[in-house]
Amino acid sequence: MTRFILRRLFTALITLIISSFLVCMLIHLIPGDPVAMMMAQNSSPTPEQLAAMRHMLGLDLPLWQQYFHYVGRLLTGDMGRSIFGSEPVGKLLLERLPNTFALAFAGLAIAIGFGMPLGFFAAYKKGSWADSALMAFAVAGVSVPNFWLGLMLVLLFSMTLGWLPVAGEDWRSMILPAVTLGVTYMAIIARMTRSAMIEVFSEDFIRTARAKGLPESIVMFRHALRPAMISVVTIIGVVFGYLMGGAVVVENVFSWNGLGRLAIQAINYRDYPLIQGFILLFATIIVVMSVLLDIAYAWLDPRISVQ
Amino acid sequence: MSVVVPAAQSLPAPLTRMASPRRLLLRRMLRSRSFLIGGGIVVFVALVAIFAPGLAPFDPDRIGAGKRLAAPGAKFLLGTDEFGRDILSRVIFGARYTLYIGLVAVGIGLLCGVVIGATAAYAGGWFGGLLMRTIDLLYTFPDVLIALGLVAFLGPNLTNAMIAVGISAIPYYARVTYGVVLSERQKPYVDAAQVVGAGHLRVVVRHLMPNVLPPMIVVASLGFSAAVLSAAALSFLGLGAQPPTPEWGLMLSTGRNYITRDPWLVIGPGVAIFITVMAFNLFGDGVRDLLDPRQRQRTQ
Amino acid sequence: MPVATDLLDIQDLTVTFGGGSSRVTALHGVSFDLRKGETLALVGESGSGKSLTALSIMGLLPPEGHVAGGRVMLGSEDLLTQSRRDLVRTRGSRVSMVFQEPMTSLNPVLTVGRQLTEGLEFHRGATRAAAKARALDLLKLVGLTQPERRMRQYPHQLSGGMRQRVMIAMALACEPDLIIADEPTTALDVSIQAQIIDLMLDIKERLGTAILLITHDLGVVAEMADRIAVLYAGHVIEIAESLTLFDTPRHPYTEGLLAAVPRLDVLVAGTTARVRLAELPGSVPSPADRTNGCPFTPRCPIATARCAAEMPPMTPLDAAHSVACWERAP
Repeated sequence: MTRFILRRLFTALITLIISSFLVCMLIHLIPGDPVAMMMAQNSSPTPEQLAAMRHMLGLDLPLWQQYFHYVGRLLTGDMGRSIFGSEPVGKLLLERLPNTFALAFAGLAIAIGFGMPLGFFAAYKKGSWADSALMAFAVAGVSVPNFWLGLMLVLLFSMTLGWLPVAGEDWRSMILPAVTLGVTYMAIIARMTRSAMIEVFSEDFIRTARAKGLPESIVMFRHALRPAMISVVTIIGVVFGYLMGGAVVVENVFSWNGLGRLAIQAINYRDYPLIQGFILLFATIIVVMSVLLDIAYAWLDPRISVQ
Repeated sequence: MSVVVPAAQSLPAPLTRMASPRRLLLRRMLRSRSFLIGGGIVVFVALVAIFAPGLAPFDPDRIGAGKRLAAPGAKFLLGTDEFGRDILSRVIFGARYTLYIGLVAVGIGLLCGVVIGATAAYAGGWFGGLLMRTIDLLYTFPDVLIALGLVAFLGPNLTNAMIAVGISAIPYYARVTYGVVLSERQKPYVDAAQVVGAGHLRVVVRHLMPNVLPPMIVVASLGFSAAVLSAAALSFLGLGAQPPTPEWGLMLSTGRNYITRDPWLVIGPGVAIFITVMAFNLFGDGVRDLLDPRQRQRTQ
Repeated sequence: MPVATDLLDIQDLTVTFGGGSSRVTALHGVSFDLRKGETLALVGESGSGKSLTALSIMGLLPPEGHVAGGRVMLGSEDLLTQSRRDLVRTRGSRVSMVFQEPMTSLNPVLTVGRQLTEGLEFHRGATRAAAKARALDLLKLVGLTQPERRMRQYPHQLSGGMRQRVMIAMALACEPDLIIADEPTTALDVSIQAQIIDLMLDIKERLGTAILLITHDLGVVAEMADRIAVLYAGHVIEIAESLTLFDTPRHPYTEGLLAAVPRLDVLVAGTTARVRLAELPGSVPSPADRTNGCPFTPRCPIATARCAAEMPPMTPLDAAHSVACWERAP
């Protein structure tokens, strides 16, 4: 188990190195001179200002050294300064992080809390009208654009029925964004849970459990649920990453003051250091989360945890 | 040896005896609801896109075709927008953009993905391994985030959005191709072709591709729906299509400013995206079920 | 010889698969009985319906399968008409089953101990402690060393032979009257096969449990079976006591099977090759290709026109030997 965790941490480190390299190189995608583009907001910068900026970003170094310059700065906790407003990128990001986390975890809770039981139920009632209805709902769930769903929910629950606020910071105003964010992943998890359960049901050991004369409820909950959960947990890692991506969009629908909204503002202002910091932070969160989920997975599956 | 699941041995026998594989496929197609509904809507959207100029009652860009923000009525079936443009006409022309974006993005993603995946699978060794590790890594990052990052640096416009969405999906296509090619590669016919003296390229093009193609249709169809969603999201965020393009995501983005007064501005384009994406998802699911009857039995 | 009281009496068991135009009959009126403490071997090639018969008894047919007729009497109860609730009570408690694949037939995420005790807790209402004590005894009974440790282990930590011992211990847990063993040795190494057979012989002797042994391995049959029922394409075509069948087979199919086998004493010595049934020329017709006649007709050296038209009934040759063949038992 310890070896498994160490190995997983090592691959996570490699992942972070590669992603930081890619993020560092993104700056060269900018058509034309990146520094001139960045300074364009700033009326007409002097050549000295341009050179100072270039030096600060390490862009005057040869390409292969730029990455080390970048990582060197990162390791001292310096993610650079926002071009617009000139605050430290790290500070700006950390200010917004709790809001995004709150939204993402609420969305994940909805996705898992409803998706797993629904998928479980559909598998249990396989072939029934309830199963068909749930699976049709799941196809709709993965197909609905979350930004549109958000608008529709606002239209219905805030404007027509007046039950929930359109925007704000309290938990009531989080309900609609979290539901909007969660629906797609709830549908994905429901589908995954259903097919994992059905797959497990065809296993020999389920037949053994039935041959032992155990009632269906024990077969279901003791014998089938855990192996099925194991395969669903592996999916949740990927789901969480995509959910974070979805949060960027949903935050902008509901004016939720998180990282996603900050990112779009940064893109509109061509605030490249801030965008880089945002992407790197997201990558780190996703990597850390996937490590945690892999450990949860190993803990659930004795084939990994008991060596 | 084992008779554990006698159905697998005894069931298909009468079917194969009575019908040729082709007729069998046709019969299954007609029985698959996902395939029929999904495929039907895909064809419908394609026809709308092709015949948009004939179908649309107005020029989609004509400002002041009617009153500003008119409610749906006999003349303007879906109402008009903030410039008095006919929303129905804009939705109809939007089908063109959506299909175009989807085709370009899937084209980029599929082409690069297939090349990378097939190379990694076919080459194998440390090179193939490294390639796939990198792809696996990128796969864990949400496609929207990758697309967002690329557009942020390339600059926000429709072309860059299409490219970014296409690139963001490369890991997905590469992974599927890798898996399929790897399993095909291990089959005896590939060795046989090489023994006979067929060159590498010939083996890949003549022998591997025909077997790899069917699963790729599924992947392309499901990828298409994802690309349409991502591109619409970028346009909604102001990072894709720019005004006055009648693109569905952009229409939602501008329409939301009037949502209190005129909710129909966000209903038409939203339903259009929803239906189109769902059609491609259903179609992809349907084709997958057709290709893999075992899976179908299991999942229905 | 065991006392001649019927434990299990199967009459005219008919099982179909699928529905509508693709419906096929997999078991055609299978009948045989099993006495207390007896071991009956059900032999036949793949697809002959051996495992299907076992699954029908247990009520574990796959969803596409339907019992279209017949009776499966366990004592005075018909298992086929039992309520779901009663069926669950019967399974594992009065009839239990050992499966072919010890690698996949144990739950990978539950400990061996848990899988052994749960049946006891459910059927016998045993407390955790009592069930655990009994489980330890069972593990000793099936010859596993370090039973305390085994209880805590997961299936993946055990070898194939050890897992099959665990499967047998599970089957024995509630002291059933009948164990159905579906190819219990097929998936194991040859040396392990012999150990498992010895274990089953030992259990049979010590506990007097009746065994319905399903196999295509005539070596196993020769070592274990009191009587043999030969299944061909969903029909029972010959039943006889073990020695009788090996000495004087009457059905041409049985003859063909045994012709491919070295002498019985060699088999019992259990030394060399285990001969598989499939070494007969030709193959079993698929269920869809079957006619009203005897399904063995196409491969039969003595077939007549009547054989192709009409299925011969099981006809007793003497008290213990019956055969379904127009030529041999007219």
